[in-house]
Amino acid sequence: MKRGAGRWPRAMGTAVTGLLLAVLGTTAFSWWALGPLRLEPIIVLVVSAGYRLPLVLGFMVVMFLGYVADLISGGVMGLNVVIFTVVYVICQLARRKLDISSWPFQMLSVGVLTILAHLLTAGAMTLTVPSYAPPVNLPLLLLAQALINAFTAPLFFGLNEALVGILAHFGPAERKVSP
Amino acid sequence: MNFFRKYRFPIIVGLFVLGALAYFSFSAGKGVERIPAGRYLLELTGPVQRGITEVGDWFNSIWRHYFALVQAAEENDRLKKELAALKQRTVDRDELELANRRLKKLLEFKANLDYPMVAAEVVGSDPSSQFKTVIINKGAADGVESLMPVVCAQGAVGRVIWSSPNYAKLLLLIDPNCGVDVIVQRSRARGVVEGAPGGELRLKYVIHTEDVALGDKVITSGAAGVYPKGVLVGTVSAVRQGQDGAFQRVQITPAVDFGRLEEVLVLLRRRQLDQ
Repeated sequence: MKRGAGRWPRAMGTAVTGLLLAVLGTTAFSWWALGPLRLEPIIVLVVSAGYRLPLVLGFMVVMFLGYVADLISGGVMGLNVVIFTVVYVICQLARRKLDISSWPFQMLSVGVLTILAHLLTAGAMTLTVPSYAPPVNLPLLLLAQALINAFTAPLFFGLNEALVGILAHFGPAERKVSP
Repeated sequence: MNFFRKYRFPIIVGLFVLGALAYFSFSAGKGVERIPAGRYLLELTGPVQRGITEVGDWFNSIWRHYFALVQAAEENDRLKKELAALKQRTVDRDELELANRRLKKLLEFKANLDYPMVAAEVVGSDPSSQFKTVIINKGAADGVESLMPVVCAQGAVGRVIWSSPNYAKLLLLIDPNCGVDVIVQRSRARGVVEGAPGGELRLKYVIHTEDVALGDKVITSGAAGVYPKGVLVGTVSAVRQGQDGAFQRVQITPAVDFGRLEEVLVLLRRRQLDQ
């Protein structure tokens, strides 16, 4: 059962998938870019971590993903760490009431949080870089990027779950803690 | 203990959010060179990026020059293969010729600049639409360090923002974080060029009395110590008198086509402030 995979395989799997998708993001995914719109798989992993990892371990994984994203993207180090942390906290709050097992909800979550992440990026850039001006068609771009991320979310969720499943299968069994 | 159990969630969230913000402000102030883990991570991902790029190029070549022809002609297999092979050779020769021309321009450009420099290939581009950076296949082992200027045959490209032993990340001129001190070649009007939305550049701090006209060439001034003087940055494509403030609004079309950046030259020149 992938949903019930141990926390360490899930954390390791999410981190490794993030690294892999980050590398693909700078190469293969950028070849299929539609103008300024690109595949953004790491946000999907942040949402997955927010719903499926325990609080502290999830924070560590998400900060690692943010660090990797900062390394390969942009000139403002630490920006993605902060944004992913915010998205992660929202997912941790949402998981109390919601479950992310279904595809439509995965897509909805990723779409909404993509818009939030991009708004935070634009906001942070506006505050920290005086010369930065958000593009005039930002709302349209955000909507299109959110749709792309939403429709590709099940694919990246599936990839992550597959890797988590493999690690859970081959990794050492977790100790059962009696209640 | 009960207090911690009761408020575990907000305490942990608060700690991590504060940690993230502290890291952000630390990194913004000190620069990424101080965080060594990133160097090794880029060393890990760099070869994979390079491999994927090469495999992608190979598949692209196969797709364009072989499969397309196979689909186009079905009745004569021998002729088709011969045609495909000939076309492939022509394309290869064209590609070699284009590469030769590019490298020749780069060599001519290199001869004009009296600085030690190292040529590098672009192996990865920024996955985000909001930032403009690329990764090249030369790093600290070749003498590439942060703040070194990067050029190509067409003109200024950007600067190195950090390097690992064998790879480096460049901040392109069209990124809003990148600023270069420049002069208008004809009138010697001075300003600062910064990235603007849509892949254009914006020339700032040029007062109303300065003479700037459409088509004027903009070159680096050498004043900020990063770039040598006289590297072409772009051409003035629009000039408007701003309604607010004392400055003109000048738009510049970059000399470099950043969408087709393949080879670059890193000037192995540490920042030199004006004497």
